[in-house]
Amino acid sequence: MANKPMLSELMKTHGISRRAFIKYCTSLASVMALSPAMVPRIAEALENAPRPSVIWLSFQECTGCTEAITRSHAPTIEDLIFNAISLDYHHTLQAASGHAAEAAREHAMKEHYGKYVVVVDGSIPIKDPGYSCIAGISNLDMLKETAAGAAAIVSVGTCAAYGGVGHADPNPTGAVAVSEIIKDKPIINVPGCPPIPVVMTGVLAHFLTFGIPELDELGRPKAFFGESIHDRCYRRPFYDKGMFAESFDDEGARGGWCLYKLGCKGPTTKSACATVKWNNGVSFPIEAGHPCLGCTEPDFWDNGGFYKPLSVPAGDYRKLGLAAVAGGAAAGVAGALLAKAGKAKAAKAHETVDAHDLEKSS
Amino acid sequence: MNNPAFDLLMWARGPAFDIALIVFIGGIVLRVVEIIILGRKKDMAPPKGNPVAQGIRTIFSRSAPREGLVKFAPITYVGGYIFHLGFFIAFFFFAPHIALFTDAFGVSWPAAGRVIIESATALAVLALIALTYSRFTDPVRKALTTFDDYVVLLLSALPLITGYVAVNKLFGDPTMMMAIHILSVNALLIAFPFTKLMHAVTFVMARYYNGTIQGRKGAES
Repeated sequence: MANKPMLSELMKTHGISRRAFIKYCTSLASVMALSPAMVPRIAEALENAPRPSVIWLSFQECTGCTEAITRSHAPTIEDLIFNAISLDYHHTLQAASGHAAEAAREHAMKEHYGKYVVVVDGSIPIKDPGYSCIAGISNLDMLKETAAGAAAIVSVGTCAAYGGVGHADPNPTGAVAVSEIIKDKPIINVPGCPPIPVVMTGVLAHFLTFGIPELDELGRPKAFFGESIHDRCYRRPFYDKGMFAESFDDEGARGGWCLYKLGCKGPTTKSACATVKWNNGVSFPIEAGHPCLGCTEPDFWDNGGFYKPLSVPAGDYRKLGLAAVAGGAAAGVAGALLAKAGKAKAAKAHETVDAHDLEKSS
Repeated sequence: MNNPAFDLLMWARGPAFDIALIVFIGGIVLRVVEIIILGRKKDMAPPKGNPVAQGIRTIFSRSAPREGLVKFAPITYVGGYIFHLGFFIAFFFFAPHIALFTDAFGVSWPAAGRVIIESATALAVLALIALTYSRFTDPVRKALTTFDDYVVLLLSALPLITGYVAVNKLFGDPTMMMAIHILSVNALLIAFPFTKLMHAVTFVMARYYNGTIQGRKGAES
């Protein structure tokens, strides 16, 4: 590790000013909901942090997470933070392939045993290991083997964190999340499809500076996943006023009204999308006019339809309703006829009794 | 990894809603069909007045209180009006609820703002509390109240309270509260055909029937 340059040296070579770096640390502190007093500590920690070895494992995934983290305009400081770690294995980004690539992974594991960080994107198929292999090694075996010497695991993207699209019904590959397999290592979930780049780098920065961040019950860092998109949405005033877009091209849609009725999952989705935004703070899905899909939540693919509002039943209830009308009517007719038959029977069985009969019987 | 709150929400708006809907619709149709088929014995005497007109008139006229009764039972009348109006406003004019009708029947109408919806909800809940209180304190009403009545009061209050809590995130996980809200509605739907809640449908028939009796006798209902 000693022969690898520290962040400050990297910054110099990339022409990043100290001011820009401190600005970045401030925004990191801000997005991580830390006190401004922490900024110098973040800067110091980032500058002096030994560059931990990072092994990035890509399993059943679409490479969207890697695309997201690399497509931030280079050379951003986020990019540099990524350079500040030692990315020893990432089969999409590294030049080596095949056995040479695997050798790099094995070397990093051996050299930094117990200290390296494993980043995982993609779910792991457990129905048949053959569904997804790298260099002839099944995803399951590679994860178990690599996780054994890890200091911590960061599950990047909803697939690694919760199973994602692979896990969606009917889950043909038996896809599971990392946390379903690895139970004895700290796991940080950074869900999203893909996660916001600054959230990924922010979590790594937090890990470098302060260790494992505070996590919610779904294993997500509270700093980024503490609040719902709905509560931070700039379209929230329209929701409160009862102004909703009814279609994608009506007055409401053009006027930027609330997208709840078009299926927005903002109320049940926790993410920093509405505050941190995407592409260097340019926009986020709702700002672009599309309802939130809820991609940072487990099983978001099976949430009853992306364009169905949350308050609308998820199943095919109309047919059931019609069947209930028919069934209810049939049961009503049957019940009434039964009652009528009972009445007729009672009338037939009725015996006229007069005072004399009563006297006789008593 | 699953989110239990989200799974419960999906169950509430999935299978649980389907079951509740079948019981709700099937139960209402069953009871209405049964009431109509059982019918009443035909009155062979020629009517003195106009039974049909009086019957239809009564359906509406009994929505207004009779003179003097508001003073006689203020909590029942004022509380009753506030609850029903509040419940209707919250149910029919809150956008997520309208979305349900749009999905089911393709119809839509303007939604009310947050202030109106939440005021209506809060007033409806307060009215329910007052109505429950009067059932406890008034000895006559207390004697008339059955266990079912308290169940119905609770079932009517729960959707209002849980909906208010879910929207305002007063406590609990908002997703979980939304799931509980929908489940409370499912419970209301299931109980509806088999309790006094059924009055929301049968009041039309009952009032019409009462009106025709008066109309037949040549009296104003």
